[in-house]
Amino acid sequence: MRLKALLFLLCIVTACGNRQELPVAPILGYASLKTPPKEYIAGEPIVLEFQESGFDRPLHLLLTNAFGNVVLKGTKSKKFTNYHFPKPFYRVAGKCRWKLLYCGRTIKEGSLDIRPDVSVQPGLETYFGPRSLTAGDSDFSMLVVVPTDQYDNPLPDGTITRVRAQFQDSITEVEVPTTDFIAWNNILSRRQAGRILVGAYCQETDTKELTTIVNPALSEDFKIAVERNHDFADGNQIVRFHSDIIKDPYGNSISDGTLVEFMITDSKGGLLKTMGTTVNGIAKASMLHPSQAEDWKVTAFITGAAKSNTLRVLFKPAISDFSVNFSPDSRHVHIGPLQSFMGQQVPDGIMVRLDIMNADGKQLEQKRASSKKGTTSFYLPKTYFTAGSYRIKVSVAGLAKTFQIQLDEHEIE
Amino acid sequence: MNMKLNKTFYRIFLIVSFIGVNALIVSGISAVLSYLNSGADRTSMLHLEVAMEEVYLPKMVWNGLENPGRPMEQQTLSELEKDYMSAWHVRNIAYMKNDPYGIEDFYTDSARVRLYEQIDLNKKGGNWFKSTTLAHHPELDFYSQDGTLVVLTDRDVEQYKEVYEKETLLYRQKDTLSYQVMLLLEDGFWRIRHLKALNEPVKLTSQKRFDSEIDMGFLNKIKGVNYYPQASPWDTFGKKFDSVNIENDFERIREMGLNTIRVFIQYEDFGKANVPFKKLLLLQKMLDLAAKNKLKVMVTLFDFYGDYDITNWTLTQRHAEAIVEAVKDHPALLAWDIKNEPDLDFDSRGRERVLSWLGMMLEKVKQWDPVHPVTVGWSSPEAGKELSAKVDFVSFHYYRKPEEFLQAYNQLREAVPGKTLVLQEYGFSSYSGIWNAFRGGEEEQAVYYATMQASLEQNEIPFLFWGLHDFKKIPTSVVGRLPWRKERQKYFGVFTQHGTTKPAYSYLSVKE
Repeated sequence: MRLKALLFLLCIVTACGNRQELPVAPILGYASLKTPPKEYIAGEPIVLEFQESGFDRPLHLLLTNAFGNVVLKGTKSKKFTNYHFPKPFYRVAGKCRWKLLYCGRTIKEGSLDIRPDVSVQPGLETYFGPRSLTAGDSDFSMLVVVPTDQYDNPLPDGTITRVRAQFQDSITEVEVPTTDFIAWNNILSRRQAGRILVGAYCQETDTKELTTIVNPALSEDFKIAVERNHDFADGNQIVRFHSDIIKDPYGNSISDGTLVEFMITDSKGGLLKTMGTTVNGIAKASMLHPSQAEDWKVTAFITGAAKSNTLRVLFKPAISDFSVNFSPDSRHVHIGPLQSFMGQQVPDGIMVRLDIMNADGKQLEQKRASSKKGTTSFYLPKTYFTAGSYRIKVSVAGLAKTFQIQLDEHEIE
Repeated sequence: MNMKLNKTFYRIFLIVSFIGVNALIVSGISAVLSYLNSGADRTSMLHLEVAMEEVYLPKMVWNGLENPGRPMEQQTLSELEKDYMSAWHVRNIAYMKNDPYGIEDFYTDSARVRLYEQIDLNKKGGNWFKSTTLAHHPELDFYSQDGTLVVLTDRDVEQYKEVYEKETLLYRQKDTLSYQVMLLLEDGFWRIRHLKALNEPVKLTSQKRFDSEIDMGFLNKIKGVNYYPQASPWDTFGKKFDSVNIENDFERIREMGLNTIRVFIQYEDFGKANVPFKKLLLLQKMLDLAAKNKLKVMVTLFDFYGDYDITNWTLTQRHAEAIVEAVKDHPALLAWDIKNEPDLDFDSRGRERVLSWLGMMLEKVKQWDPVHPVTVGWSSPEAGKELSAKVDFVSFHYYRKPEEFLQAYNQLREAVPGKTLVLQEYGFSSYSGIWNAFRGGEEEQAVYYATMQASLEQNEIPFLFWGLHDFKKIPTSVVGRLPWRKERQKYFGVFTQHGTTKPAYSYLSVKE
């Protein structure tokens, strides 16, 4: 008897004990599934009942679903062995396959189809984007709705969801059935800028309110105007440029903060630039008056999108004449008083230029100074300008005067 | 005397403890300094994609990218593919170790809860699962306009898993399943949000046997040799690859009247999962030279590979696929030998583990190249019975007494009726030295071959003897460090180290 038990034990050890090796023993037992086939709903406990006979060792039930596997041991009732599915297996919808195992061999296998639980109010997840659109007929946001049951299983294809969108006075509603887990709907942009509010519902569940903003489209060409205190080139006052209300093709004034660049071509072909950003569609920019007579051509640009008309801005000279005085030794040159258009002193800061040339007309040096209280002066030191005859040219506000001077070795105070 | 000894002890103790204390202080200061010098890694702040080592490379073939949402970009597709594969990988690892490490990177909040539940369940039951997927066939169902949501159907996912309870292997199985998956782009990662096993009939991937196309006739006529260049044994395609020497060897082989060589491709030498193009060129070069000399080549893959573990199945597949795809149309190619003497790994790795890897690999090589026959080079006639249904012909090695050969051969003949049997390795070392008490020699080798060749010829058994050359050096990885093994291994050739023929040559030169 003892020997038999020992032999039996040895059998089992050789059959199932080895870590790596699978036994190749004949299967003597027999098992059959007693649970009638049915469709299962997620969340409903599942028990598989087997009639097992002739096995010398307990069997295992291997369950496999999308997320993983589990090995179950049966509980014996009078006639049958029951295998109770654990929660993660009866709650996950989809195909769940089972295999009844004995010593590494499949005795019986099959699969269950677990359906999502549609009886309870579903959960709705929404994915909405992009959240900003351009006005017009081509852009759109996409709303994706994923209805799930209470165990987070996506509801079956064909579940009806409704998508609502509000814009100004209109509210639209469309019916979208799910396919591949999701229901999706494109929310087309509008021609007017504004906000589109979107929501969806499925059975009794509603989503939260979702927003997409319709931004104005690219601007159209626009007009600019100029504004100034007077038209004298005094180098002191500010010229202001402004646009009209810049609009997109659908009549929306363009987004605040759009950069508008004003390009000025002066009479010598030089370029000046000033810029401003739009507020309520209007861009404003400023520029200092020139200090000599000018003929400006001004055009504004929104880079890559639009440009304005070209505006001509003329400036009259503010200084009509000026006087130049020399010290006795001609080494000090006094310029001024400089008088503006009404005879008033020019504001400080008018640029005065002095060009010094030798008798042959070769340029030796150029000095610059700004006017202060209507005057300015230059000094020609003897260190640099030795005795001799020189030609000097004084330029102020586009006017120029030339003098011939004689410098000595001595300075006379 | 005693006093003096004591004093010396004290001295030694003092000096040693002084040095010890100083060493402690220095190491303490350096530890503090190195701690202060280390800072947060900037990449961790930016949440850039971490360069992952290639550990999981199942075959992924997209069936279609057309979808009603938005056209798929190549860049996004490769990121999606990478993250989706990582999701499978971290899940495989998590179920193997019952540890949720890495799950949160590739599963969204709600999805990872389900995995945690399963891990807890398996921990409680003492179960763990070793699994891998070998092939995916995804099809894009939907890609959202804002580029953050994807739904795909992954059809016929070839899965392989082993079920363990504590240390006991309960079950192993191969499955083909289909899934529908929804992924979201979160923090730069594509994460799985929904995963559903589909109740779809499995499309059987065409496992057609093209037996009719296989030229089995030639196998019966094999007269060949196991080939390594003289200068680089066990490293044919290494730095010493010399096409001139190889061509000379091939000419000699042809002069002997032989028609086949067997070459070995080392797994690591050929770059593991990423086979370098350069190596493939060398293999092609060798095949070209063989074709020029009218020799057929039996290519033995996975030399020096010995893991067989499920976790690197995908890597070995990519390795073999690259090689097979590169040369499968070459006229010189005769057959694919999956592995040399894998039965020797039965004890250390487990018989089932080795056989399941071989079975998988035989199937895959057959898929990639249905034209050329596949085999496994078993180390003995007795092992030849293994997997006989899966190989196109049975290869076995025989290094025992020549007199007993026919008996062993006939036993195998009975065990695998109808299969072509190829004696893929046999030979005799002409070594004579202190390790065999000067008992061997070239004459003994000639006697051995005389007997063997007579039985082979009489029974029309295809053969490849071992080997062409004597070698100067044997790599330690071949037979270990023991000198009596190494020395013996050097003298299996029919040509001496200096290139002169040995007496055995006359028996192996089969030219009519």
